[in-house]
Amino acid sequence: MRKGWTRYIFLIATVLIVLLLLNTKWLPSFKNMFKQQPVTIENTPILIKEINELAQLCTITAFDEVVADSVVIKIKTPIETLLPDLSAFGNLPITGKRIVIIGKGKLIAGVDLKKLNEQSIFVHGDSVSLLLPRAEILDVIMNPSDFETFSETGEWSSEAVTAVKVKARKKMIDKALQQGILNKANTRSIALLENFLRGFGFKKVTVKTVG
Amino acid sequence: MYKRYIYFLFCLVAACHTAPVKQEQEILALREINELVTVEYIVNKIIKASDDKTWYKIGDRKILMTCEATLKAGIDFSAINAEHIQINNKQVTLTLPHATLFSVSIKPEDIKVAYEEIGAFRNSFTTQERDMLAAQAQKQIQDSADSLGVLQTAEANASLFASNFLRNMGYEKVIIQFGNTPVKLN
Repeated sequence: MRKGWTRYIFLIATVLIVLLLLNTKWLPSFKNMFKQQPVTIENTPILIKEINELAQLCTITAFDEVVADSVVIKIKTPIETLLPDLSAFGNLPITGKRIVIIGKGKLIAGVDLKKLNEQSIFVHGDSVSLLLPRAEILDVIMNPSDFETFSETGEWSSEAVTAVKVKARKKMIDKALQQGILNKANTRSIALLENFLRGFGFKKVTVKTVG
Repeated sequence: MYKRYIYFLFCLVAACHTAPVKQEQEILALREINELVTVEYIVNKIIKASDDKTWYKIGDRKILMTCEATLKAGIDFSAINAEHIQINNKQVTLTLPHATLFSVSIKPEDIKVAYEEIGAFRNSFTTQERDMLAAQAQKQIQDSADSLGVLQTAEANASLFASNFLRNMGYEKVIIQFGNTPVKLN
């Protein structure tokens, strides 16, 4: 009887110790024991290559998500026909590889105020007139953290993957242009600069875009 | 008894898990912004990583990549209003908001794999893994924006641009200052 009690006390004590160690992170959980350790990069120095002076008035940003893919298909060699095909083409006489990437990013549009010159602004008494350059796409941001590889079969070189990502970026630009981002950026730039010039006390403010 | 005891412990440890984190729904759309970008820094960085931390994997993997990033900074244009402008005949004082870092961008074509060493029992780095390494580099570059002096250059350029713009408007003396406190009107 006494031996039985000792066993139960020993069991409860062990459970409590395990729980305590798990809670205080002293003991790795069973799940983490076989978890792949993350690969971290070293803190290497950053080298400044260029410093450019800009004057870009960014007025509209378009957030978007696009899908881009690439497929390479070839006829199986006699040896390949004998081997099991893992590329989802099964028993077909062709084989190949495929990559599908989801890219998320943002596109920024606005006007490049560096294109302004002395003739772009005209002041007469309490009136001011400003001729702005037309809005353009100033930046497309699609960082490595914005890409997700949805499906990848076969060996893809980093250059081939880059080509798919560039395709995704082009898709995003096309979509934004179809949405009329440049017209919206023009309108917004005019409104912003009109407001800015009114701050200087001008009664009549005219802001127009070239063309 | 001991078998039951070990089985019970195994179930207890295996059942331990963390609660899933709730993710907010992201909305992608067109948004209005008011950023005056005044500087662009183009920087280079070497991405160096070794995959040798997982104890049960036989052999190591090493990768060396180069990347080029663009950092853009400037001022919030919408923060400038009549309260920030003081005019006295041909003299104007403009108070601009302090510069902020607007973006860090690494184009896909600016990431290049320079060297890869793969152990006999290991697979080469996947696209997703390479992207994750580049994302870490992006974070390091973003964190070092202060030490690179991006914001100081952005303010200097903003000051220069505003001075030229106001001189073109006919003001002879232009004073540009930075701060959140607007210029007091007379």
